[in-house]
Amino acid sequence: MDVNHGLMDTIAAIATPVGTGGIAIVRLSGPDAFAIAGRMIKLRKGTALEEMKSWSMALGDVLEQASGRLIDECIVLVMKACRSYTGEHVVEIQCHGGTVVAEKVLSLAFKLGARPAGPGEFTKRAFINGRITLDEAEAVLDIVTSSSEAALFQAGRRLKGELGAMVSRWEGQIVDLLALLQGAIDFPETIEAERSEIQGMLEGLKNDITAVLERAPLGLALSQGVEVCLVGRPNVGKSSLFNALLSRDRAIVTDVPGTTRDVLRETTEWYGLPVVLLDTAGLRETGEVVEALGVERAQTAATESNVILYVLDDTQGICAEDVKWLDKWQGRNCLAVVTKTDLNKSQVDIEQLEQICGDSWVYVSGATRFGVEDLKKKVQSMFAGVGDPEALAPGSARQVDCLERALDEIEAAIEYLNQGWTDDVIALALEAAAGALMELTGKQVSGETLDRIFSRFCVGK
Amino acid sequence: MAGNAFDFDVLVVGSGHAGCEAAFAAARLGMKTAMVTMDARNIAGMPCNPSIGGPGKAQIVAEIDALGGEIALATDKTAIEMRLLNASKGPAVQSLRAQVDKHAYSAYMRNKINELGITLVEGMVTEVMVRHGRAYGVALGDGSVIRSRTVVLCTGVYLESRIFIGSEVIESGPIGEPSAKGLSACLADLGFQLGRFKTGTSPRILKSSIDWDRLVREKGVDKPVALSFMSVPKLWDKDVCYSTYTNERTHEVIRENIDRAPLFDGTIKGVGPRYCPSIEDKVMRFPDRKRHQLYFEIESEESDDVYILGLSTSLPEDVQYQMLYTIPGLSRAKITRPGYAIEYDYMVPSQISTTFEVQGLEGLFTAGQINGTSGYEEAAAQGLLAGVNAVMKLKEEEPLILGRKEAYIGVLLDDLVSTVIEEPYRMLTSRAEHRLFLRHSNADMRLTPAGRRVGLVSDERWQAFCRKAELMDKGRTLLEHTVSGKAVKDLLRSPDKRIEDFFDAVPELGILPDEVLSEIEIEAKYAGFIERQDREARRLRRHLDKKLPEGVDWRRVRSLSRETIDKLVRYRPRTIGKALSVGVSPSDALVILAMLRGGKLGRGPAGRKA
Ligand SMILES: Nc1nc2c(ncn2[C@@H]2O[C@H](COP(=O)(O)OP(=O)(O)OP(=O)(O)O)[C@@H](O)[C@H]2O)c(=O)[nH]1
Ligand SMILES: [Mg+2]
Repeated sequence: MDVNHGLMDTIAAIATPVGTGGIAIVRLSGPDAFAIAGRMIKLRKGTALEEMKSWSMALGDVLEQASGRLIDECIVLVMKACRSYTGEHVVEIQCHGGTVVAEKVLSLAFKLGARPAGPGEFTKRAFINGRITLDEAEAVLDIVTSSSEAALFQAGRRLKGELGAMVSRWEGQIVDLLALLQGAIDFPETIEAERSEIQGMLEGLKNDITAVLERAPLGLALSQGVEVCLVGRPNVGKSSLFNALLSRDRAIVTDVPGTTRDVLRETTEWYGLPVVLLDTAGLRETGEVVEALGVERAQTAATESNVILYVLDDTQGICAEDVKWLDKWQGRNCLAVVTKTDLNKSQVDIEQLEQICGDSWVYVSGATRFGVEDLKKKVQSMFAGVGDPEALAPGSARQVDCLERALDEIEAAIEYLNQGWTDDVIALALEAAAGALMELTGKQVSGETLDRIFSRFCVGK
Repeated sequence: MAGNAFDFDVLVVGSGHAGCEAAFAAARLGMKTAMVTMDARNIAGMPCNPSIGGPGKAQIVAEIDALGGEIALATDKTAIEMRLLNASKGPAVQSLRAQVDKHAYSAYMRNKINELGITLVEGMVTEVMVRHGRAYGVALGDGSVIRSRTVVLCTGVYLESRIFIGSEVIESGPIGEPSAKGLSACLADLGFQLGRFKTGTSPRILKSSIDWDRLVREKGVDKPVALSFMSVPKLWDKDVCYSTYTNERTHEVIRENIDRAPLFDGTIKGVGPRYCPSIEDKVMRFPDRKRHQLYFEIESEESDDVYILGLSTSLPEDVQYQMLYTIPGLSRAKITRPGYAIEYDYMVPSQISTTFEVQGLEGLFTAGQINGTSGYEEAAAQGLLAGVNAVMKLKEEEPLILGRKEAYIGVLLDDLVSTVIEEPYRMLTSRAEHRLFLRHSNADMRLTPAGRRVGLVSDERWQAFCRKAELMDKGRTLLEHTVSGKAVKDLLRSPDKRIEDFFDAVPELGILPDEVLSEIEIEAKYAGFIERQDREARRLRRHLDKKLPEGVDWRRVRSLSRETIDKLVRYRPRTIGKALSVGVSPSDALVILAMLRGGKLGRGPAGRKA
């Protein structure tokens, strides 16, 4: 029985994003990576690829097996197991000529026995091979999928383990407290737990974790894209603006009110900010079944998004409906966008608008693209502006979940302390808090606590 | 060999705390039982401090009692004083500790041996007799063989033990006792893995050589208590425990002489427990501590020895004197037995199964310090289970196995069989993830039915249990009564509400006995927390409890590291969680999980089992 088979075969994929740049990288990882690459590449210096030193590069030609025809000139980089990113043998083939050539090289690798890599599989292997922790694996997956530099920056910081370091620090503090409480229970003659000391440390932890969690929406937005939702009454010009913001003709535009029905989603990037832009059905009371469903979806999309762009038609002005919606969404990153300004009708009363939403409004034209770049910058600055954009923030729902659970437990512990519950109950909450954080770092609570008791306190008979 | 030529059904080697419970259980279950000891005067001795109970340990004592064991009854009968520890830290961690008269305790256990008709044999066991993978008795030092259908080894710290007092090294058991020779070698020859641990104890000093008025008196518990569910609670404040502190001068003496401590010069190879460091350890590791507390416990009403808790040491006797002289009240102290360190063999406990039977050698059971544990209570618990399960095996009945959620004993068992024990294993409340539920006060409700099932619980105990259980049910029903729209049991969840507050509203409550009242009050008050603890434990175990198939030949699994394979072969973890706890790396654990999911791990070829 060979259990290696199936789990640790050799995988291959194009490692660079589709359609970009002149150079594409094909990456192979697994026990047969050298053998497969060796059969498709002839090194210029004449030696065999398998004999290359780990972490060395060489120039070579990719040749088609059957015909011996040259496919591309390439640079190969080889990394031996243990020293590579995945912890397996890795070969990276840098091809010129972009995606088309890379596809050819890849299919050659498949013919020679490699298998297409699943999404994130290189990272998964790195994790399985003990090269990186779960935390780091998540960060790498973010880098692979992140579409902008700001997000890359966030992910990069987490990759370096800064979030991990901070979580470890908190975890250390909680385990210290737990060691104090549990230690005092197990060694009542030698350890004494001061409740005021515990309370003080818990309050500190609560503040620190709360501060980081407050940045969670930013972190999540940066790693997953900020959702920006266009809403407004029918026919005001939402879809035209949607197209203008994407610089392509994505949504259907007609002069029939009620054109857009489903929510349209497109990813884009505004001055470094990854954005998921949504176009929605015009808001109105309607007896038409399909449109009514669309209107419902529009409202949900708006409510769940990070930024609402409320579109007003400058040829029509502000009506009671508009006021109602604008009021509803005030205080929720809502920006009023006055469009069709190229028609110079000036029906929107700016004084009235400023009364409702202060200076959170812009003039644009979907037809001429007037003000479109300013609008993008304004949205971008909403994120760059609040707090410190470089401040550390959790970047995945899992991380947020663990931190939130830890915070809940810490708050519970403080409450139990105040209510006068006994130490065993407070220890219970602390244990759960430590457990939640250790889910991020992969340790086990009871072993850590015991170690801490013995290293910190002089116990025993 | 003629089929029925056995002298005994159960033969217990050792007369310590594990040996006593094992032999008593076997005899009570109707087995022809023998106990072999090197010294028939040394029954259930207390070579370390003369006390039983404390956090985690008192719970074990109550559990043994609930199952029908002896330790709690013996302690209640022979205690000099009892103290209640953690009184204000919650009902689950509150624990009694009894200071017992060690001579009276030993005499009590000796009487039981006679009473139960156990044959006491004096001799040194040098060999376990094995035929066809089955133990059938033991050989003694004089060459004689005793045949028994099962053998329970409870040899304590005596296996190849050596004692250290300064540079003196004595091949000996605890002071005055011989060391057990030969048995270790026999076990090693049988293919078992042995390890070496060390522990230590402090000097005993003469009662009349202490100026007692310079020490601080420690008060006993101020309400009637008992360890056993069958004892009548008593008041226990006697004048037998005092305390004081070491000081800078004491530490000075230790530092000056540290090169004479075998613990520090590398003579001692065995691993000692972190929870019981010697005084030289404490002084060297915590140089900032200006003083360490010491307790003085009178060991027996019949003897003049006083035990000093907190002063375990292996420094030479002259240094021990110098140390003592620096302490107020001890300026004319007379040592009756110097402190010492002791090193001994133990059998790596992952080699036993959950019944305490040694894997791969039918009919042989081990219990107590031979399994790498420490403490009288931990030993007694194992003795009881090993004794019961030897009998269950002979009767071909369901063994008695306790789980982590049922008992501290279950935690002990699980940790022994499935983790790596790196130091003498002592029970701590921190080890029990269900500790809010595992209380001294409900040990009877948790375990007496199991004790009854195997036949260890007497009719008298069973009737008392049934009466209490019935009253508990009645009490629980009464707590369903509502007071201003809310059930009493919910009102009790508030930390400042007591059950007495509801006697007016629900008068029938007032007539329930105290132990029932306090139990249903705790149940109601902590119900939410206990549920939470359960949930939390389950969450942690979600992945950890994934079973690993048995009989896999790990050596043929090539994607695992060598280290991992070694660990899997040696410890045979049964779950992913256990694999992690024996040191398998998380990444290898993931590989195993992945293979489990893919169905790639089946049984290996027959006969290749590790
Ligand atoms: N001149 C001018 N016409 C515009 C502008 N924006 C939209 N229009 C016109 O207004 C009409 C409606 O535009 P849409 O973009 O479809 O409006 P909408 O808000 O998406 O409409 P619904 O999807 O029906 O709610 C079309 O005839 C557009 O050509 C603009 O900025 N300038
Ligand atoms: Mg539209």
